[in-house]
Amino acid sequence: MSISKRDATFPVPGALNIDDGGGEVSVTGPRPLPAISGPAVLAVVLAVLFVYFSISAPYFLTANNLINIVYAVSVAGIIAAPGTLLLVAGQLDLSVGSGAMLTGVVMASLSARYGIAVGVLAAVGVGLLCGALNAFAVTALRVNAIITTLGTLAIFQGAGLLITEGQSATVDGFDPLGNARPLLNIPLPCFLFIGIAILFALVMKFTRFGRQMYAIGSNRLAADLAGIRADWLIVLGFLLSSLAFTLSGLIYVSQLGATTSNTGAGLELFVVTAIILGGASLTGGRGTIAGTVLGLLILGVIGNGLVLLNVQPYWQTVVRGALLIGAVALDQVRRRQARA
Amino acid sequence: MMSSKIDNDVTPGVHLSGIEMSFNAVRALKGVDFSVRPGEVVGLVGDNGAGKSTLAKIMAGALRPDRGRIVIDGTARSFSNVRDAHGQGITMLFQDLALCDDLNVADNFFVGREPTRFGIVRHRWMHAETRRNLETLDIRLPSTRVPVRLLSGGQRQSVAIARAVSFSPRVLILDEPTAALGVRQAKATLDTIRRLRANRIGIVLITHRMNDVLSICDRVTVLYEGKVAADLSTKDLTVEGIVRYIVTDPDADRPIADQSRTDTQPTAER
Repeated sequence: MSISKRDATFPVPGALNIDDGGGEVSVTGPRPLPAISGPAVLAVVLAVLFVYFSISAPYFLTANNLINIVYAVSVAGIIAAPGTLLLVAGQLDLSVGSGAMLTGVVMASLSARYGIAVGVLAAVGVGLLCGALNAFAVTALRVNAIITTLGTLAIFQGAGLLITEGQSATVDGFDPLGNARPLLNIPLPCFLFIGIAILFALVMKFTRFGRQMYAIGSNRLAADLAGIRADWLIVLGFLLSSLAFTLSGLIYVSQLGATTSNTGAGLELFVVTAIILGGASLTGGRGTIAGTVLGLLILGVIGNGLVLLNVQPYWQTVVRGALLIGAVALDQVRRRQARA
Repeated sequence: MMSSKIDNDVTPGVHLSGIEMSFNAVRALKGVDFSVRPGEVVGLVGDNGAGKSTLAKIMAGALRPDRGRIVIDGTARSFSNVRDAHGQGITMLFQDLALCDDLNVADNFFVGREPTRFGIVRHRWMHAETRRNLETLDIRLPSTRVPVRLLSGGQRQSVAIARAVSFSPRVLILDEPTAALGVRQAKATLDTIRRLRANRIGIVLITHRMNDVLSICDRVTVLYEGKVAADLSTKDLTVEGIVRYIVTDPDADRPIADQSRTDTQPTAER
């Protein structure tokens, strides 16, 4: 399809009409993807999934099931909010799953002896240490964030196993955090997820911290030249991520009444898939909480729908992995078009 | 050397004298004098490796000279980094490093200095203020809400220049601002530079385009292997005239006949 340069400059509504001698803008084809907003596409995908599962699985479209869908993604969602903020700055935290496990284990094993308050405080402390370790490796040692957090994924997992020696640690009297249903029969983690998502959406849109994270991910050198203290902001991002996975770890403990070395396994895959699916760029600079939430809901609906359709649960993992690759491929297409 | 007068300390503007700089064994600058006054556009030209970028980076605080003086409006200064120089009113537009592609025009304009009220970023004010600044320089963009990556090269350059100018610099250093641009966009950029000159900003223009030098610069300083080969008014100057200085060793008695010789001087640029 070839259009004249003038016409092709910005053929889509909502885009602009450039004229400063900008006739030189070289565009050789239509550029639909950057203009159609990512969240709109995701909303359509979500709607299609909704319709499909509503028709094929009778129980799908019930209040309880919809609550279940949100409940199922809320632990991942709590982590995905700071995860989006980090990825916008070009940083990825893959240690969230094992971090949740480790902090859960710390909480469970300490509260058996010293009470729940001590257990929770210790978990928060250990969580922050985990985040500080990630931040230190990334900013001070200059190790790539993916490698750093792949390493700490193993370290946190190993540390958790050392504490439990492979056994599960149980906790009594810590049910409310994960199981309470304070309003409309909706579980507390759903409210925590929604609250944290809104909080991070506001932070990313309306605070200098949030805006500067976008600048760091978009062009680190330009951000440095503009006087942004990128390393410190990235440290803050990793600490927020660690607080989020600590909360998730505590919710796990509360939900299960116990924690094992399996807790949180694969959580990073779920979180990263949701964030990328939501339109965040792997290299930073782009991404929104709204997109991430839609990504989470798409994953949640697919998982829930497949269960209701009696598909073997292992397929969910397969689908999730495929979606991750698909989402990154889509990001590449967007990127190529944006460069034109 | 032709530029001995600039040691006069009371002259307004930025004056560098006796700048020397070595990278290991390579003497990139061998005692260079350079000056730019308010409202003056000075071309900085020379072959690759002549020391243009090194000199510019020293002026912008990105490099510290081994020897030499930097005098701004009569006061001797030294910079330890780019922000230092920036604070003294010397801003360099680094090629391709100036903008964040994913951010919109206003976000780019205010990156690192986002205005807030009660801790909340004032988006609407940012857009209005950006628009106002662009209009001052007669730069027309349909919207300040587009990501910069969707702008043309000329528009990006304009935005970068407008941003640099918003810091009210004494001196703005532009490194090959038109190199990647088409003819019309390059002209638009040169028009912007003329407007800056009218606002009494001193401009240092590093370029390989001799026609740009002739059309816009008041003066041109030619470097040859780390030395000043010439410091000339562009009045009555021709492209051939500049090129002769670019390829001629100022310390040699006569022009080098064979211009196709291979340059064995290691390049100190980038």
